[in-house]
Amino acid sequence: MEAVAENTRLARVGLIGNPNTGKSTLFNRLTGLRQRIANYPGITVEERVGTAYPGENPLEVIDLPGAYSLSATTADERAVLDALAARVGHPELDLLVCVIDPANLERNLFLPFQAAEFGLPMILVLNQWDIARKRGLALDTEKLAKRMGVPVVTVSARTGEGLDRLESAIRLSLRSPSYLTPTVWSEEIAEVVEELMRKVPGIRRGEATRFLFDPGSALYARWPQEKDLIHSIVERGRERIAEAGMNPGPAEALIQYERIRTTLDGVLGEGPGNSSKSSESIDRLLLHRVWGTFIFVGIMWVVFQSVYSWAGPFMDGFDYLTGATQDVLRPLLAGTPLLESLVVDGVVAGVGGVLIFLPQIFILFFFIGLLEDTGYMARAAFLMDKALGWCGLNGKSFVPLLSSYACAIPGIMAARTLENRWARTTTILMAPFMSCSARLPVYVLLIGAFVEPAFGAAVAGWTLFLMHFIGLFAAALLAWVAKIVSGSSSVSPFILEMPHYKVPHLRNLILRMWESGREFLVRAGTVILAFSILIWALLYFPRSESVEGEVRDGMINEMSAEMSIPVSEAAALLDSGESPWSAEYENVLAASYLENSYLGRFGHFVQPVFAPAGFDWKITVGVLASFPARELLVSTLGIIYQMGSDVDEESAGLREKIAEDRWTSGPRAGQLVFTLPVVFAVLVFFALCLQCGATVAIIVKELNVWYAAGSFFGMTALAWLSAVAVYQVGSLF
Amino acid sequence: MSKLVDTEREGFESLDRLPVGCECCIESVDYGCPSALRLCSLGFLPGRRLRLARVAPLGDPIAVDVCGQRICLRKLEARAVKVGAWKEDNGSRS
Repeated sequence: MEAVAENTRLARVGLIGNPNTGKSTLFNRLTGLRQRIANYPGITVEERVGTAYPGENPLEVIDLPGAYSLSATTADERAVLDALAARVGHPELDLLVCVIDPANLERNLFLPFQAAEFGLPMILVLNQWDIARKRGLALDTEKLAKRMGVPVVTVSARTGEGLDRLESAIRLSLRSPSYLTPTVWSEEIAEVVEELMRKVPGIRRGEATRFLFDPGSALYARWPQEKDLIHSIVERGRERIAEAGMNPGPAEALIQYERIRTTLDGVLGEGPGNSSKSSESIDRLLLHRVWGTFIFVGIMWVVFQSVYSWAGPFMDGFDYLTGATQDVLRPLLAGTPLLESLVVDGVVAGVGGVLIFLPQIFILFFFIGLLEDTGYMARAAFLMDKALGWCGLNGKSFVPLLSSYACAIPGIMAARTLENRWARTTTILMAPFMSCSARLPVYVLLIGAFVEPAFGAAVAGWTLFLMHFIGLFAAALLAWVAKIVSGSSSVSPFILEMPHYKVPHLRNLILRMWESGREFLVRAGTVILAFSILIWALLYFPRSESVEGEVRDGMINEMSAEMSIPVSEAAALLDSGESPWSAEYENVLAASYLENSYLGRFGHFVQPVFAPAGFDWKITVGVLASFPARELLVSTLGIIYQMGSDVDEESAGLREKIAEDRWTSGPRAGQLVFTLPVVFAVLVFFALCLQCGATVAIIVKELNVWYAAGSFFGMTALAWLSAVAVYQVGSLF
Repeated sequence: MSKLVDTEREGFESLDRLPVGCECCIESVDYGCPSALRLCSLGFLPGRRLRLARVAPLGDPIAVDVCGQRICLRKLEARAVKVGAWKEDNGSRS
């Protein structure tokens, strides 16, 4: 039976360990590019699964989330517990590889001692051994292995040192496993654990121990029917422990740390300490009240600039490639207008719209890797925590929110650095409120066309500046309200280790960049592409022949009247394509097609909804067409105002046209469409609305579809309300 | 000035009220606090020595050296840790 199982599936090796032990670096070393994300039903924590040692006898390696202990208070810890107990879709593990930072052996051994209760074969890996050696750490690994009863392997995942030793240790352990002896508990504790195992069906020893020591354990959800039974056994057990003279609160930690102390006695020599001294002297500068703040601002400026500006040339490159591909394909498909438009305007534009995010994602994740691997990220969080904590965020939210000012996509992905679930969710939901660079063309167009002529350049500059804070202000306020409403219990605490400073390894940084980019393409790219093709279809169909005929007849009549030539001559002139009328004809035709498309008709249909904000049907169609990507407003207005789609926010023609546009019907017929209240209503609407299909897609992937829907509809409603309020109040003056 | 134990409130001072650089001994952790378990597993245990290494420029959070590691925590959580027999850092330890 065993032999059959071994032949049909790969041996499964789980990596566990504290955060900052270089566990993921080791995982990357073992699996290289042969990794994928594993999602389990109902579990939001993602685990990486990869294949190590491809070839004759490959292994499946699972990178479990970093955790300090197994008390299931965070989602990450619960995921580790589920993996150890092979619950909720996790396959049974064949071996646990526990990754340990030898610089802090004491705390790092707490987790394997807890995990020993699950009775899995184990190997201890002392990672970052090169650093430990350099610091002169005196550690008797042979003695440690003997005391622990499991193999101890020293490696450096950064440099690749010792990986061959690790492979042979893993292979040996899979053939003849060795186990870490579970801790010997006091009589009372052991009896409670036994009782739980007797009375609760299917419970494992490790889980029974967790129930006893973690009063609010998330494990209760796994035994809904036995909940009360377990609770009463645990309560009685804890009382007995207390009667025996032991506080059940810290009992486990006290016993385990005592065991660690005796285990390490004589294993760890005198010696280290200079590592903390060098980190201490760096901290003295980087966490300094004045210099530390300056350096922080400088570093964040570089990170922001890199995403905002340095990514520009690469994005222009992708833009150019998209345009060039379109130019090549357009004549090839000219015979079939539907196919031409689908391929050129739908697929190629959609693919280009996905790829354009890659430079920002690559660059941001390079810097995030750098900040995390050096150990500065924890310092940045320490510096900024107070400023962000009041609205339920924590210090680690700073980098994701700052990058969202360039683009929410990499910003939302960067929120992965937050271990705290509440703070991570809040950060992700706040990110689309930050004024991203795609809002800028809309601001520039409207402020340039209306605010500047009315109030001068200074006010225009200030308006542009203030527009960047509307979203931030609204989002922080909402997050604060959410924090108050939910009560402090769900806002989990901020307890963070400040790791020693380390020199980052380029290989690891590049692998991380690559992984984030690849994940974006695979997971979000497909959704974004589907989105853009859907919007293309709504803008293209139904392309009825009658529209073209009407526009053509109208144009020919106009030409013959204007130039005093017969209709037939005008028609010939138009068909020749050489007169300026032909270009005009193309623009008018495009505008008519847009107006008659499903989206255009929908714009007419829902215009009454936007009427309280002062929007006419043209603005409404512009707003609707901007839902896939807000910067589309400019080119959509270009088409609607018969200027063609090749306009930008600086074009004087477009600015003049919208400034002169008047209502053609209704109660305000003859009046200007874009009055100042309307302009500000549109500005506020764009500042607050989630008009970005890519952002919706990435929220679906990073959180779930409900958060994405809530975010989309919530922001749209807020934008609408604010626009109405601005218009109504503005119209009073 | 080496024994500034505040005996008026529960006999011990809480971690969030210590001045920077001061070293002391953990007396107890309030197990009613939601993060008590986490603090325990990180080594915040009665009898351990800790040192308040740093306070963030904005006044919160604080960084504490305990068990050879530096842990950053908010004052809200630090309040659960009661310490005693603390003395000001007089430069004997860097």
